[in-house]
Amino acid sequence: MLVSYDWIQDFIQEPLPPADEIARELTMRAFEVEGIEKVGKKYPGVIVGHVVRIEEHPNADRLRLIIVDLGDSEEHRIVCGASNFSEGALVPVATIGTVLPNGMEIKVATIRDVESRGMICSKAELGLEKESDGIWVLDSDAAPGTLFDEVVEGGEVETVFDIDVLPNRAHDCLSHRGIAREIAVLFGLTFTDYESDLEFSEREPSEKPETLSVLIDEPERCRRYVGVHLDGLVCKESPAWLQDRLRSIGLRPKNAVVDAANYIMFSTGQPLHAFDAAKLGQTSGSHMIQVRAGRKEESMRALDGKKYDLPEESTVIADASADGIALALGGVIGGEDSAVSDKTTEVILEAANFDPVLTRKTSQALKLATDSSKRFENEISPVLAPMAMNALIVLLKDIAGTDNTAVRSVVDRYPDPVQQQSVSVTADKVNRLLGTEVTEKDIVDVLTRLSFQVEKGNDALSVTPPLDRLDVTTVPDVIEEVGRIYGYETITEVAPPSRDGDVPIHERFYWLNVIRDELVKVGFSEVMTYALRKKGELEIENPLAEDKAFVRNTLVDGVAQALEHNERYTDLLGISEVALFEIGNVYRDEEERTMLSLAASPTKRSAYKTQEILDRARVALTDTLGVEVVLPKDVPVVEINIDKILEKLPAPGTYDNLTDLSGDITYLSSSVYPYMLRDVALWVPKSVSKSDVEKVLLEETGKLLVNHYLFDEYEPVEGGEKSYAFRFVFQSFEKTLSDEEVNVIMDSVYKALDAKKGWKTR
Amino acid sequence: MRFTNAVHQTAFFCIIKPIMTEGHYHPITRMNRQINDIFFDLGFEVVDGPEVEDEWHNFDALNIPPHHPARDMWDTFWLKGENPRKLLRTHTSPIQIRHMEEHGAPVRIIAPGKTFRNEATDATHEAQFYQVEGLLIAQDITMAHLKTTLTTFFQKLFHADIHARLRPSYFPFVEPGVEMDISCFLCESKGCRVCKQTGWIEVLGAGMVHPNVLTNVGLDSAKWQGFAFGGGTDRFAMLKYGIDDVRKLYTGDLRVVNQF
Repeated sequence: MLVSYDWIQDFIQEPLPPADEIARELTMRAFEVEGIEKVGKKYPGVIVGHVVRIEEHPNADRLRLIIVDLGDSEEHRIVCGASNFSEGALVPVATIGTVLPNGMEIKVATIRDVESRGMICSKAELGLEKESDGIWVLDSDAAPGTLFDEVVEGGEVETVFDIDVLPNRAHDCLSHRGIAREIAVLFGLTFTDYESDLEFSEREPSEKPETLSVLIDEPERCRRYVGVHLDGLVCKESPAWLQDRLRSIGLRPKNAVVDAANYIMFSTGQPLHAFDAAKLGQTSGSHMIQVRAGRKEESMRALDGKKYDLPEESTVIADASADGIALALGGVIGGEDSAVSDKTTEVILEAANFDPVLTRKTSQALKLATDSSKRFENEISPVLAPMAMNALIVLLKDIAGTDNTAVRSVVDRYPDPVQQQSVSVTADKVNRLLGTEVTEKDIVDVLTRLSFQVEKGNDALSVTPPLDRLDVTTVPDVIEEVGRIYGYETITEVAPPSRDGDVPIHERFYWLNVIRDELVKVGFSEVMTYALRKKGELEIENPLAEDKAFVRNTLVDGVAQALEHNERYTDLLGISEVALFEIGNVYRDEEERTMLSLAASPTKRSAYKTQEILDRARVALTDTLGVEVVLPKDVPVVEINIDKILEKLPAPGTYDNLTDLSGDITYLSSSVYPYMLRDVALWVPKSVSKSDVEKVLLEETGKLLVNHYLFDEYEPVEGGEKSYAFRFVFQSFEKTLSDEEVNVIMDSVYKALDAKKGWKTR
Repeated sequence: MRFTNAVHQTAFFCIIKPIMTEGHYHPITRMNRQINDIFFDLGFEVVDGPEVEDEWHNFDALNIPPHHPARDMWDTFWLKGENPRKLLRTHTSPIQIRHMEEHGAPVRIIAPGKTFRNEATDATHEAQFYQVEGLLIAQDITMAHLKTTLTTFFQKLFHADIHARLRPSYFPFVEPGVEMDISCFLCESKGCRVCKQTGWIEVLGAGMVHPNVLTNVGLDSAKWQGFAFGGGTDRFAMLKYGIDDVRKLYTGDLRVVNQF
């Protein structure tokens, strides 16, 4: 969730600590802060650019190509008409997507056949003066990429945290209020909460009859419904501060009523909804809201413009004065027919508490997850409804109010108020689970800071969490609160008691690894291929792709693909045969089985045929396991059921005879570009060794050589000479090599070889 | 590395051909073997379980009831046609349930295995990957034991002087739940690309086993307590060997495997 620093400050009396300190404390004691983003408020999208280079425009004399560094270690090219700056200057750059004060949006543009990404701005273009005669060259030592707001006088920067609020705290912390309360606890600051009573309930004028009634069909659908009829509004554009706040957390402002409802939702965590009262029916001068289950074949056009068939588990907010038509899908989304517009003057406001499971089912059935459904499915506390309604009315009176603004009716249906259960905790219980040495005093201190009620009993503390902390119901829940705030860093390291008796040897683990060891020894390399495939017996209901819609029923397909794939790289890898194995589970004949697949493919250079290579594996396994291993014949890829073999093997007594694989290895990525081959054959005197020749070769081949090997050695009995033939593999990490580039290298190789006395290339 | 040469002789010349070199282990196998070696010395026994799982073992027994939003933490591949419906296990945690159901307590196990997540793949996410689960249940096991056990494990795995820190997190089957970071052994905590300049690397999730989980497998949660952890074997391999893209592990490509 995106959380605004300034917005948090509204809840805290003292000035907040710097953003990075907040992020660190939250991460260590509450939630992970995944990022801190700074956004310019006065000049959004404008950043400082450093002019690295200036080039001429190929097609226009008056334009120049400006290469700027924007702090992301890339070069950005911008076409610019001004000439009052030179290389090395710092300038304001409006990046792609920026909207300038004159309404101009910066897009990728092609100016006289040259692409331009962004705009270097003058003071006029930034709205600071009427006319400018050139670019604004900054007198600053700011780093490229710095927000323009940070370097210019009068600039303002908004800081936004990206916080990963996990499901156990989603009910109280998908809100600025919740996060602010945590920050106040962590830094010992004073938290100012919203009023939680319906203080606005003095309707005006009170002698008039009620204009709103609410009926709840099944209380388990909706634990609480606070409804308010408010009129005398002007639903114009909301003020700049509110629009800025919404934009800073990624929301798009719409109109005063919708913006206010969204704002209070992100502030309190309580979803809110506003109906245009003029679009609702009336019975004897009163609007009648009914909360009921969705009906068969009922549908509704929602605020997103789509028409939804309402699932049976859905909760419908209906207009009982207009044939019970659906006004909204409770907890998920509002309906289009009752939507607030800029012509709205009176509204029915809703702050309700919908059932989490039914909301989740509805949201899943419709594949429609909204900010509202996300909060309800995490079960928010019913105490939030009046608090949020209160705040919403205060805000609406402020930003959309007139002299005639009045609360006509207030309804609060809350038949079964929540009670918080207390939990009994002792310092011993805490220390027994955490391995810490906290005292009762420490516990009381932490829990009091968290606004828990703590009462001392004879031998335990009776702890009652605040009404909106629905996650704390058991002893370990309380211990977690103490642990995280007191600090897990206080846990000293102690080794657990040792095991009673020997550690059992796992037969499967042992034997499968013996098989791996043996196969590797006889030249087979292990692959792991995809278990989700185009064919199989077990189909996936929700596959990632059509060709991954089944659980495999054989390893052969994957291993055959791997075989074919690797045949292309035998030169690169310097291998004379591809020999592969995979051990993995398949689903066949309604059971999960462990299979071993083997595959072989010799190159022309190999002395062995496919069957001979596979036989090597068969013999090795038969010898080592002591049971006859039979492989299918005359196919390059075979598969056997390993479970059947494991059944016959004895229980091992130790893992000690497995090969030690703990060595450190540094992996090198392979290039994505094709490789090129060159062969060199030469005659040398018999006294010259392979490595003598190699030494000369490698002095000339340079960095592009990725592999080389001797592929032929020929020594006639007659005469004093022998022949060597080497194969070279060239490859670049940056590009596809050309013949010419490789030929240049090879020319120098030939030259070096021929320069040796008695050596001749052929 | 072993290198065998066959020599074919004729009257006129001899040809030497390299015919067989040793093969190579998949990096995940190397990792699983080291994980077992280290935990064996710490008294942990290997156990395993099926990849095709039921909802009870993968979710319900782990204190993740149907329709709980926490289920969104695991993007699940559901399987057609079974009643009750089955799934591809999203973590190795169902193995701990199966083990406790069968053997009760005390428990001291690790469970390495393949797992599946229905999510878009990229350099750090794959739809199939390996995890290792660990579980230690006895009468007085604490979070201090958890921290010590895992610190020792990572010191031995990465052959480095590593220290660890615990941060609050949430997994329904543990309470308290924590995320564990280790000091970056690649840059000695000075800040590098891998630790994103923080000096810390997030390595696994862990916590004290939730009483509901113990109750679900028939254990008395007033008597037994302990810790559980689960980490990504692929991620450990990527960190140890410097592999830049998890997807390269499952393409059957010897350009990768032959380096191990």
